[in-house]
Amino acid sequence: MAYAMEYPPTMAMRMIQLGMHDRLMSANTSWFCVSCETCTTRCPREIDIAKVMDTLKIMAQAGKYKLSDNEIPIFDWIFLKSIELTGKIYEIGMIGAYNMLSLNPFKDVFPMGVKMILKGKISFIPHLIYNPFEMIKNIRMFKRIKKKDRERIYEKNA
Amino acid sequence: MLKVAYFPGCSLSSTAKEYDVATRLVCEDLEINLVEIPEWTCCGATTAHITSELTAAALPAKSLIWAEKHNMPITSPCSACFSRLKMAHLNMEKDAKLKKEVEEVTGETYNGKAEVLHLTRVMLEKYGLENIKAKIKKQLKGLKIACYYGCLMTRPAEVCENDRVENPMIMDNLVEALGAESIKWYYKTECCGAAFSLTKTEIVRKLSGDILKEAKACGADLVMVACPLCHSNLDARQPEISKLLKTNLNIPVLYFTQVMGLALGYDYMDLMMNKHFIDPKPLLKAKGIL
Repeated sequence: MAYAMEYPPTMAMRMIQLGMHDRLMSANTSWFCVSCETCTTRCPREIDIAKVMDTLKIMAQAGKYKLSDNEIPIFDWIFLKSIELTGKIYEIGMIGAYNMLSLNPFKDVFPMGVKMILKGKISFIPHLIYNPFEMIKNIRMFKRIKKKDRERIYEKNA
Repeated sequence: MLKVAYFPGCSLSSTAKEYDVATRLVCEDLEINLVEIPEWTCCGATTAHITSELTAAALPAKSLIWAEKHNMPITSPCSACFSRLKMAHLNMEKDAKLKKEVEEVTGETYNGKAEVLHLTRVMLEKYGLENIKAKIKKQLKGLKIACYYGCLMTRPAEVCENDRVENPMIMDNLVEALGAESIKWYYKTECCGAAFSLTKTEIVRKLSGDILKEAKACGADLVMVACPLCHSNLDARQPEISKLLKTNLNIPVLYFTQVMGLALGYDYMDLMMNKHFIDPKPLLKAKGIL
């Protein structure tokens, strides 16, 4: 993925050491990391580069820096919302919502989407957690996580 | 009889249904009892760990806690789910504060005793390659298979407990045991583009295209995978990639349990091979396997 990054991982690590966070965060580097873990495995200085990239993305989404990529945060929001409400990913709902919110309503619909539906690979009915207690536990867990994460951000910003 | 807690993952109930079906058939034959975790929730995949460390640990924690309570190793056929489960387990082991927070948000305790294994490890190490060989009904002679491991099955090395990170052989050994030929190729662990399938499709087309081109150039008849996302990128996106590369790649992509199923005597429809975008029937018929 480094070929597509504005600053490849080696430069990104150096920029962090030199305190050039603003410049790095406004580039697409961390967003083009797909966590394939090749860098972490091969780094001779044993830096967990993939974890650093994750942290950059978490910091950006926690509102500390301006997001330099909008598609992936939109996708993440939809993905996690789907897990919060159903416990699993409701694929067709997720793809539909993502296409709408990224202003590209017909992306992948034809031929791939139609073919998948005809092959029975995507169901229109979401797979849910059927036990209502588990469903409530799941939603409660997400609420608690949100609260803890918010406390963590206030703590860091204070 | 080997009893394992089974975490299918979201894809296996929809876009990778054939993987679930093939896995269950093969495990039944190998007397591996897959106990599906009741009301399991999504592992969070890539999204959880780039949004919130706590979410990334709490989502898999529910399944880990169940497996620990019922004293079973936990396995997943999906490499991403396996990676998330294992990483959550290791992160909670290393970071006591994270573990405490996870226990607070889930309302349950975790003692760190769950054993997380990828399905290939359960079959090939816990059950044993020799035992699998004894059950083979049909040798897959003449089939040249490129084993594609992808990223999360072999990396990071500490998570996967793997000493062969750059040239893994676990699936290659399986292929040889089934009577087929496992070809030597150099893109075994190159990333297919993974989670960028919807958000940055051009990248997936390039990376997956490179993998398929290389497999074909090295003489593969088909590519064997162990992850539903890799499969989706290599199979469902193959028509687009062929169009982009202005060539007809036409390489079927099969799950490793489907290939095992063929060797154990199951047929095309049992293993739901009709659900693939690139139909393997002409190839398998030509090789005399169907």
